[in-house]
Amino acid sequence: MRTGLDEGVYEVFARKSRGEPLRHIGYIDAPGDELARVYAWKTYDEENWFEMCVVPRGAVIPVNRVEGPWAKNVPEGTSGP
Amino acid sequence: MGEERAGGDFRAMTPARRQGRPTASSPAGATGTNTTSGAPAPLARHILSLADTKRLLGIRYSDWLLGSPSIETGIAASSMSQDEWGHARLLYAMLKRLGFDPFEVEHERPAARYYSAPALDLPFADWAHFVAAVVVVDGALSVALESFADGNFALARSRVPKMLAEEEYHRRFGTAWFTRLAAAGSEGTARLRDAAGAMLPTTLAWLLPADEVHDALVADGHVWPEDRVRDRCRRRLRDTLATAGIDLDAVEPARDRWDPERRRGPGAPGEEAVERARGDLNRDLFVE
Repeated sequence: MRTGLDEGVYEVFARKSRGEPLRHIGYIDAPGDELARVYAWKTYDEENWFEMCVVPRGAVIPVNRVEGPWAKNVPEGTSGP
Repeated sequence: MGEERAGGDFRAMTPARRQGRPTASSPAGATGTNTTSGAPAPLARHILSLADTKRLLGIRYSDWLLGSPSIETGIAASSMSQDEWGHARLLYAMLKRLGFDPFEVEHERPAARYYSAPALDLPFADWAHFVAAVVVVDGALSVALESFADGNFALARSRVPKMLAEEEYHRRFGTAWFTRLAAAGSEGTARLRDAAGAMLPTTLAWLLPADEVHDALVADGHVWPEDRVRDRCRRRLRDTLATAGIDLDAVEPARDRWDPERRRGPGAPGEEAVERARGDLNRDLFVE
């Protein structure tokens, strides 16, 4: 059965307590923001997270590197540091 | 309709017939069974119906840990499956307060003595059935639990809210998948509509039993009156179902050949599922 769902990559960030900084804990594939929230919560459930967020990979703009998972988000005409 | 039933009959699990298992501290028969008919009293029937439906739902979800549309979806199905089994366990444990032995209830009943929603009698035929069940059956379960948590049974008031918090992710999962499949305009959309349409009449009857046993449950303040449950169900499901062209208000509960003891129509979950639910293959490994 074809579901007609195109998936995107979402980066997952979380912290265990209010005072702790958010840290990158992984990524998931999801066909939209709402399912990304569910998949992230259900996939990275090894901790009792105080806060978890997901960010579409395409929204992450690298600052000092032009390689890696976010390389294609480097603004046009920009090179490395 | 009791004499012909073999061992494992729910009626055999009244406190008076318990043998060799840890026993409940509550007075025998006082709240757990109707002492005249041997059928479970309203509160016991309600808890058993919720617990059995969650247990079967967990099994049906678990069938899709592999083979679902993506790895993440399979992980979510796995997690939801475990949520349902955990909730079932907590619900079965409530029966102890009513004088039943949860071990017997969980592990020694035949399929014909299960009180689960009929929509779960058979495995889901495809992914569309899975998604439909998350919205229709899991959704109805959550409405029933909201009602139960707001009633005057102390164990429900203290334990069910945590279940409902976990169920919120099931709701999000179901709504997102349902609306996306409904909008896809493919064969999957038609299957989704058929699956949800087939599950709704019996599931509405399960949620809204409209029998004397349920009336007693309402009168005792354990659950909301039918109108309030129906309204809550409508608010939860109507818009989602409408995306697939289903008019919830036009669906009538299917109460043909209603069995008031099991709070459902005829039939029973498949033996393959009940063997897993009872843990037949692991019986020698149980640790109490």
